[in-house]
Amino acid sequence: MAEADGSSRPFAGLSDVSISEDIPVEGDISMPPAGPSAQDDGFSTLDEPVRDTVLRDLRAVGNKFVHVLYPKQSKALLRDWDLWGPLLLCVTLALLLQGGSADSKEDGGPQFAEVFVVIWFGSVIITLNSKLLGGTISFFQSLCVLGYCIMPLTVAMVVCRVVLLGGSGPASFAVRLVVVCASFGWSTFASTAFLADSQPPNRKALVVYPVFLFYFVIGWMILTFSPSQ
Amino acid sequence: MLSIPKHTLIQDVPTRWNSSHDMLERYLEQQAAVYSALTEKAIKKNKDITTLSDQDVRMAEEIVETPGSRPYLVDDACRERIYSSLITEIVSMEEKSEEATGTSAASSSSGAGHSGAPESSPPVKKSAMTELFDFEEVSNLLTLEANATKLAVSGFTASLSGEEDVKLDLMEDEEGLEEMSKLLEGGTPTGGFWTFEYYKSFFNVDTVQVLDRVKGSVMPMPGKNFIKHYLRSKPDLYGPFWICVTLVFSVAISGNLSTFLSQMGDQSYHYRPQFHRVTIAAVVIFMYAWLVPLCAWGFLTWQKGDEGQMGGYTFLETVCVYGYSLFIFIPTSLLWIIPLEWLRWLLILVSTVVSGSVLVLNFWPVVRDHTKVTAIATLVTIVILHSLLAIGCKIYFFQTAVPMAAPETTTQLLLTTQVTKSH
Repeated sequence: MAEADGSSRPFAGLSDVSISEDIPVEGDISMPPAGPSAQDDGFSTLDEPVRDTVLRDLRAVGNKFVHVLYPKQSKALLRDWDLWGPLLLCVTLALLLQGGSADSKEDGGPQFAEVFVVIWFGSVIITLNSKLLGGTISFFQSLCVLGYCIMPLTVAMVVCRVVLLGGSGPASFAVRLVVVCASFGWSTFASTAFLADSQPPNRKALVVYPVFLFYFVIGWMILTFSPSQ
Repeated sequence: MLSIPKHTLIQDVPTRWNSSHDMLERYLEQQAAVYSALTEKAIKKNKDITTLSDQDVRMAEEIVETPGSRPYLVDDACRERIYSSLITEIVSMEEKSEEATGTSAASSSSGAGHSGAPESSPPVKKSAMTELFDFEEVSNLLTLEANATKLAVSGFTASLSGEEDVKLDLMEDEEGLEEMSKLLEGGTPTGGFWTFEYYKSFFNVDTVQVLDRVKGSVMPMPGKNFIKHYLRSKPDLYGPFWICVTLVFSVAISGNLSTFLSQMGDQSYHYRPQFHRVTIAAVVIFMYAWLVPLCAWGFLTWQKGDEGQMGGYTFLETVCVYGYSLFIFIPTSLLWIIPLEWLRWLLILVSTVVSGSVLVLNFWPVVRDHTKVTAIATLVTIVILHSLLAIGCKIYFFQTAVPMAAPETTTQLLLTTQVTKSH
């Protein structure tokens, strides 16, 4: 029953409009060739020397180190996170911190595995904590930030080791104490500068406290390091 | 030219009730216009157009003009469904929207009468224009069959058309209910225990609340039940977990410091960080903080199940109470560094009394209805376990000599400390 005469009336005036067949529709579908760099981008990392590939990643890591040293509100750490830096720092710290296993194993300092576990499980638990409290930061971004902010403490560890070469009297202890306290404060400040914005405002202290505890424990491990004889 | 209103023809559609009826009605209304269009030359050339025969037109007229024919075009099953859902809606809406029937009643009744023109019902505001239309037809059904609900129905359609008003009324009347639902939302976990959101509901606390609960655990007041007063059905896992972690590290670090301080004068002593103590402290404290509440909760629930009483605590609340009650041990462990033996025992006493009383005040209302022996035995067990933890920590971590292997019983510990002290 499609005698929709009534409905076709409004369009009656258009009945003779048509696209004539002889107007050509033409164009060029193929993309204009861009510069050689754009086309070769997908392929160039295969052809480049290994040194370039490695240096690119190292430069990214180094860039993030610089950001940690001067913790302004930059988004570089958050945007392109990577876990190379934290791994490097963690391994360095654990190697430097491991207690003498030649002595009685009861009384030694933290073993390599213990330091590793403390750092990584600590970071994971803090990240989970901040996510459970409603933070908007992603899991790996948070791991990245926490790992990179261990850098001041690693520097402090190196300094402590150097100081301990000169003897382990109360003077060296005082120097070490000052260095470790400063680097602990620096680490906490740097990580809160990166993490603070992603938390709901009435829970900031709840998120910052575990970070404080985490760096405090690492600082304690550094401070109490005593070289095995 | 022709004195009929300018309307388009309607086509019937299986999803629209009474669309066939409307189609026929509209056709009959516009019949003159259709015939005049059909006489145009351009159309007449096309012999393929079929029109309604006279018999068909007569049939259409019969259908349209039969009074009350519209209800017969609705399926019986449909009608049942409409009735039941509409009645429940009306009953619930009646209680809420008494004010909304005022202004729009007039427009809705006029709209209900003129059911053949969906494009001329202005009060409809949102995209549920179709819903309004359907409900108007259904309201016609109801008015045909049950006059008693007519007012309610008009109020209902009015409230539908004045939808925003109804929303406001809902907000005003049910603020309490909404608040309750919000509270419940925060309290009850959603999703299964394997989802992230399930655990997110346990961390739904603010800084101020956590500090408040910590304060409440340190200052027990008789009559103030910790759970009822501070938790208020929003137990959290943040407090217990981080208090346990802090306690683990504070005990290990303070123990290490106290050992160091006590041996400072000794030249042959070489400082050792004793990191393995952290592991032991962690195991002991976390097991205490989770297993003992589990046993307590299980025992109390079993007891409650026997006598069918209300007022028990959930497992999470028990864990929460135990976790917060451990807070007092953090400053205690820091003060244990001071190498005065009598001070250490005094601190143990004070902290055990404080946290024990928090627990006792908490469990007393639940246990009070049991037999006196059971009640007292339960409470005494709780306090004893708590003090055992304190004493065990003190003795193991704050020994004044070389630490021995992990303790098994308290008496063994006491013996070893006696032995090491007596040189």
